[in-house]
Amino acid sequence: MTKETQFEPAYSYLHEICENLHIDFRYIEDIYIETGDFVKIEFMGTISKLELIRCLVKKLLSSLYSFPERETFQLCFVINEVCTNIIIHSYKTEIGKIVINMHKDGNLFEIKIKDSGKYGKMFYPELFTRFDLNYAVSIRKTNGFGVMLVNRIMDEVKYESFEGFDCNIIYMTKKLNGFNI
Amino acid sequence: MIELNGVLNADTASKLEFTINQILEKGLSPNILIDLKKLSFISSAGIGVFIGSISKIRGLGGDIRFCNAGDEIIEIFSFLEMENFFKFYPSYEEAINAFN
Repeated sequence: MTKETQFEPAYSYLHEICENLHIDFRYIEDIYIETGDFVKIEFMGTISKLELIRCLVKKLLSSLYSFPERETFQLCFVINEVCTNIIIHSYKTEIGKIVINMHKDGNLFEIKIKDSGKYGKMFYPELFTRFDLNYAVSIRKTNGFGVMLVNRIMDEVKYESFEGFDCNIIYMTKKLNGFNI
Repeated sequence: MIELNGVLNADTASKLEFTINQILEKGLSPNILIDLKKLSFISSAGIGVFIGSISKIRGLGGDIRFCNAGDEIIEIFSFLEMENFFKFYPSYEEAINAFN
């Protein structure tokens, strides 16, 4: 991180969020942000860092794209869910890098999240396409809802895992309806 | 009544689950009102706590109900077709009256 990029607005948002969440600035030293035609956030993934990342995404979506709260909440929700699953299931006991890319193309919003967890290739998204609330309640199911929610919120979700490279990517798109772009 | 403050995510959901289990184990009222006024975010882990405990609570003749939920949070519940499965009330008073 160069001194010039430290003063990029995105980093000032990050510092502001740290102050609001009472987080030591050293905690965010690994976070890298780029903005321009796209937004890129790189960070070392831990569950405790996700709230900070969610607040940062929320701030960037509203300041760069002027998204209404409803869309912002849903997109932050999706990113939080995917990152949580990466940390828990792809990296498991390791702490690894997560790269979030966001891009608005006309009335489409694209999100790409990449990780290098070695267990990511063991994810089978087709197992999470059907949801039966009554069954989930009857067996007291407490997990697995995140993937279903991501599939329902986003218009398109695609997973790729590159054998031999420990590289897993999720591509998601959302049509932006009902508000001016 | 349980008032949630801040975020209910993978980090904090286990604490809520523990609290609900404590309520049930101590034989306290199985009617649980969750006040979401100060909740800024809920993840699937948080929703999982409610789905995981509701059958036991309703089996005891009780229920989990919500008050002061923001529209965005109710919409997340609706993505899993739960907006009618759980009851949401616009205020604490209306929720308490409904329980009575």
